[in-house]
Amino acid sequence: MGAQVEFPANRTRILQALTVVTVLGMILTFYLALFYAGTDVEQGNVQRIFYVHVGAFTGGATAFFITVVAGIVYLVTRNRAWDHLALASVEVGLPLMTITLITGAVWARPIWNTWWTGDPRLNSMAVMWLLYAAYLTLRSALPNPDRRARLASVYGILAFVSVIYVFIVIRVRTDTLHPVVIGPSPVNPSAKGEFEVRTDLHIGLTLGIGSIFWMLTAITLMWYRLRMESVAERVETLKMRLLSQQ
Amino acid sequence: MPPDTTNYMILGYAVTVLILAALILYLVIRARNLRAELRMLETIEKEGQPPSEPVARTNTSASGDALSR
Repeated sequence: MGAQVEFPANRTRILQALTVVTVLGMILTFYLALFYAGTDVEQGNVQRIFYVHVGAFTGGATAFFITVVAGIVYLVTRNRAWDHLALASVEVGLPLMTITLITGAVWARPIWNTWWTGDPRLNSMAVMWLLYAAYLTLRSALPNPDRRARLASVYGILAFVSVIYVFIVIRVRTDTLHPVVIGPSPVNPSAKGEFEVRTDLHIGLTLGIGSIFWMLTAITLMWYRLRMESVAERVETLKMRLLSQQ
Repeated sequence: MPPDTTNYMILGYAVTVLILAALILYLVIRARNLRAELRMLETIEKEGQPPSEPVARTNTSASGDALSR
């Protein structure tokens, strides 16, 4: 027998099925966003960025929520597999949040006439991105696996506060340009930009379906990343064994 | 008549596809490298010395594809 990292066949089949569903779902998501949803009268086609901008945030926030859950379970059980899941979720969540940041800037250029501005939502989003990038740096700076897992778990749990803040900041601050798309904005009633999400079936359906498949994309990629970590752990174990034999 | 902002839409979607593709490529390449490293280490452990030929070629039939299981 060669490579000894084996995965249960039934789980592999589930992962393969999930991959197929995710790929088809993302094709559908892009199709709906580009061809099914109507063109915004005021903004033109750039408004279609909305569907990837919000969708990628949904996927990224899902990944970061899994970081919290994995961190809590690791601190309770000290089972390293949960630390691996936390790492996988940040490594997948961060690129998705990068998509949200960059598409937001691209969208802002023709609508706000600037790529970036000192808006509370934009700044808090950038801080959140940096916090999760620092999570990866923190891990690489800690050589002791137990200490690394413990500290990373605590950090991953605390960092989620930034995700919550990003979500609520446009609902509690009045000095923001960013529209409130989901739910009311009691503090800032002038914040418009719902794009008739709740009344236009095309927009609501495109956003809803898109968000589900962005979440599935995050979960599928995390699963592959998690499997990779199992192989990496096996490699490390073998290395240590060979070194101890010398 | 809506304004023509199609170029920005294309830029936004291009960035999205590029980042997703880069993430998938990173996962594929890293998984492939890890599998190759694992095969090499197992060969060393089995034979007690490093292989003279590229490991992927010498051990492919026995090892199978760990990540595809």
